[in-house]
Amino acid sequence: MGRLYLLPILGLLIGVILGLVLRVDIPSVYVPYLGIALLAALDSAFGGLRASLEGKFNDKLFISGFFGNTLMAAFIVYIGDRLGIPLYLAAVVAFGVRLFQNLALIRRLIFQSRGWG
Amino acid sequence: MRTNIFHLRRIQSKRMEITIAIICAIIGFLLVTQFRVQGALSRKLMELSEQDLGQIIRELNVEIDALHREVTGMRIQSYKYRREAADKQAILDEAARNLEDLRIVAGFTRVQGNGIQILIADKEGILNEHDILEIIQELRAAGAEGISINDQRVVARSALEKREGYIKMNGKRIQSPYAIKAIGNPEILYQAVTLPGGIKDALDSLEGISFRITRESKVILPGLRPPKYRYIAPIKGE
Repeated sequence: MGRLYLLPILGLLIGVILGLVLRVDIPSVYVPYLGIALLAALDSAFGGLRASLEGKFNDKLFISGFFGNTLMAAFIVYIGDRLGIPLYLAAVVAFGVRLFQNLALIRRLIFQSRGWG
Repeated sequence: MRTNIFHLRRIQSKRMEITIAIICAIIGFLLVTQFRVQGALSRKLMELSEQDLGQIIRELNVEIDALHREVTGMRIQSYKYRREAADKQAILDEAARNLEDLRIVAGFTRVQGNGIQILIADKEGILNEHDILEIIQELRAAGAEGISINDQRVVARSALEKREGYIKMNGKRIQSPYAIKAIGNPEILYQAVTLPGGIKDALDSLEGISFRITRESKVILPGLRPPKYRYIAPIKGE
């Protein structure tokens, strides 16, 4: 792994430690929102990793995608709650499918780059 | 030699690198938080069997019923307190009315009503406290509810004392001409005083005394300032 991934991994570690130390409590009502937002964030992160492996990484796209997807996901869950339609299922499926695709691609790209494929 | 794809990556500025690191930190934070909260939430319920869950629901229902009962009890209590407060207010009103009545009886308030007025001029100074006392007695016997002499209210503690050339009552000097006012039934008071062989006749027969009595539709009596009691005290519990 190159020096390029040092800072993001460091950030991830800091976030995890912060979460463990601060022990923020979220009202159980908001747990579904946080969950779907987290899924969207993970999707963005893996999308970013894939793009960087493909050499197509665009930082502005990544950042806007991260925040946009996260907020939109939470919003969709909220709308679904209001309408009585389990819209979060759509979000879960959409982000989930993309997440697996990205993971598969990342795996392939790493295999290729290492010459294992 | 294997190609390292990582050295191809270009993140133009340090700022972007830091931003991405911050985003990673956010993801980490969200991850941990969600793990913790969700875990705490579901672990408890997930591990329980259907019977246990049913038990929990039953217990919650019992709790809800108890809370409902508590709400009803509180409502009843609040209603009771409100009624009690209203009762207390009624008692206070009653006490205030009683106090007012007692103040009137005691002569501590200015009062008005039907009655009579007696004017006595005593040029020679021959009237004494007994004559005045007799008039007061007569008026009281005729049902006078309040009496004053020269704007001094006659109250329960009032005493007439003979002094050189004047009479003292309520610590004040009273002298001719005497204006005696009384509240009560004007007709009865009038007749009590003017009875043949009564006070009027007795005083009229004296030299140098003019005696005039009139029925009044509105007599105003002054109030006496409540005195300070130094020796007397009620006995508790009676």
